[in-house]
Amino acid sequence: MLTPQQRSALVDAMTGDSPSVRTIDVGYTYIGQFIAHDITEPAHPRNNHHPTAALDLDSLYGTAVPAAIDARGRFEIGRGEGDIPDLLRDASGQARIPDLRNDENVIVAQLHLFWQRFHNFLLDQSLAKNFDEARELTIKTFLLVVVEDYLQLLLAPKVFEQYFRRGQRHWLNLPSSPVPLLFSKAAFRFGHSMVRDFYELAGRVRDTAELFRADRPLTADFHVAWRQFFGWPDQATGVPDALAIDTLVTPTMVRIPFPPGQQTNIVEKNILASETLQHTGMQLVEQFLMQNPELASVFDLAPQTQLSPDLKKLKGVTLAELPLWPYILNEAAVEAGGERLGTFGSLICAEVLANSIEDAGLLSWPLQLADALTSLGALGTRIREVAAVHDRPLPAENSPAQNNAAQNNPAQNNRGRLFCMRHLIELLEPTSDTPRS
Amino acid sequence: MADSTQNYPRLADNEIPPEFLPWVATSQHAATEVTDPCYIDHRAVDDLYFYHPGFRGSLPQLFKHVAAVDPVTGEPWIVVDALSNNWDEKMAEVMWALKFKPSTDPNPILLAHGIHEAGTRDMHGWLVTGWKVATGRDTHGDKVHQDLIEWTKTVNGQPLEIVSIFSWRPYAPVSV
Repeated sequence: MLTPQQRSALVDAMTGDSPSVRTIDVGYTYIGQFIAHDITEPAHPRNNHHPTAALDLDSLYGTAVPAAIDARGRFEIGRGEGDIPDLLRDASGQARIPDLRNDENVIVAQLHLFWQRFHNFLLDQSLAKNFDEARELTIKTFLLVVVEDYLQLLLAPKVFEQYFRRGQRHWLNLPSSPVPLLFSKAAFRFGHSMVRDFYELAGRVRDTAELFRADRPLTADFHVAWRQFFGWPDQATGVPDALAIDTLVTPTMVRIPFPPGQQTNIVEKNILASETLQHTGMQLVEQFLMQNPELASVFDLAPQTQLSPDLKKLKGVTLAELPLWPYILNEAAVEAGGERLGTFGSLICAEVLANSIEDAGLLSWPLQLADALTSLGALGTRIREVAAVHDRPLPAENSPAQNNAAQNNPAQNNRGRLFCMRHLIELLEPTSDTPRS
Repeated sequence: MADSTQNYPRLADNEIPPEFLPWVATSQHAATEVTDPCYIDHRAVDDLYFYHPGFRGSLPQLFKHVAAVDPVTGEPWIVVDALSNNWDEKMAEVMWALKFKPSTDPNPILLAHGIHEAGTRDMHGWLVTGWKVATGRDTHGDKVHQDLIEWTKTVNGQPLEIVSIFSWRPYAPVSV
């Protein structure tokens, strides 16, 4: 537990200007927020929605709070300024969606809208026969994005390979439900360090604070053009980047205008949340190493020995005293230069999300991209066609012999990020960034 | 996309024109990194410090100047290579578009050719219009190279021109 003076010094040291990272396109910050809202409980629920631990888009489809679905099984889409698609809203402006956290800022709100439109697209294009089929295909496609794109980009490669290619996914022996506090109170909050100072929306530069527009209809000047948020992997497409996963959080985030009428210091909030875990980051690493010494040999997991360059000026707080959230960020900065999570952060996020994906019960393990695409049926064919048009070919269906070979030699199945959000953007909005319902 | 020298074939060490040698890394050199002093004119600092080398955090920002040839004309140039991933996307595009030649005066500097026309994107309205590299000293008196970047933005219908600077140490041998 930090003293108030130590906490204050740590908040100051972690508030600052971090560089952007060219390998992480700006949209991935908000994929992370969307995932978090699907499996973690809100601190202050504004309605009766309670997410399950399964990564099954209950934030989109609802559990106790149902989504607004029309007679054809399509999401009812609202209309914002200038008739642009928006979340359906009531007269007060409140979104009619299960998890109101997905209306906190205009980017995550439009990501929610993106998945609603994706579901509707499947029905409109006869890629799904009814609501249930469209729902299952949408969730499966989302899970493929989470694994093949988001996690492959942000996890340490050794961790990704063990959990998602070899299917060995219980190295920390974390429970699958409820979502462990290590994840929700600390590790998965790494995305806050990726938030930029500003975003370019509809040709205008917007300070991040301006994006918090909960309960307000979408206006054209906040419209997100997804091609400016997600590029193709390993290709200079001019897409702006997220900030480094490091021990600095943009100063905008220490005074975010949320909840409405209030200001939140996200750095202080996350440090306090991490302190509720009772153990520091280093103590947790030591505990897991005692429980499972193989973590050292398989992943090179060890307590960190070095503070990030930006924390070296921090007075009165040692590496051993860092709560888990700053410890995870420090690890990412020191081990990976801010380009991805470090080993311990990757292990926690991989294990919790692998459990949540398994709970959804829609993907088979270990994950084979080719087979998973094939299991999408006509949708998988359409995605492969889009990929070919953009010269980003996706793997063809494996024969059983190839599957066995890939399972025995995961390197065969580990050819980088082949499937990504950009495929879906090109599928949904093939000719322009002007969205259709 | 802007012009890019990323596909220019690199020259072998023994092919590098002698006048390029003070400015480029050979195969025996490690990448260099941005160091102090860095400076942005006060009229542009709030707009540009997000993009500009040397102003964001303490992770090293690495790069190399190398000798390369234009694959169309066969002309040798000094171009920028091996950027670390913590360069802003738009600034990296500018770096990849830079093509330098040393000036011919007794104290040569590097002059960028064609950067104004390279099609790089604006950064909060500012466009890079010129780029020079000179040799100077840091605040400890140590020798550094310094990039002087010329920027233009239209303000109230009038072009506003400013200069910014970042520094880097001469290339050192790869440490084994």
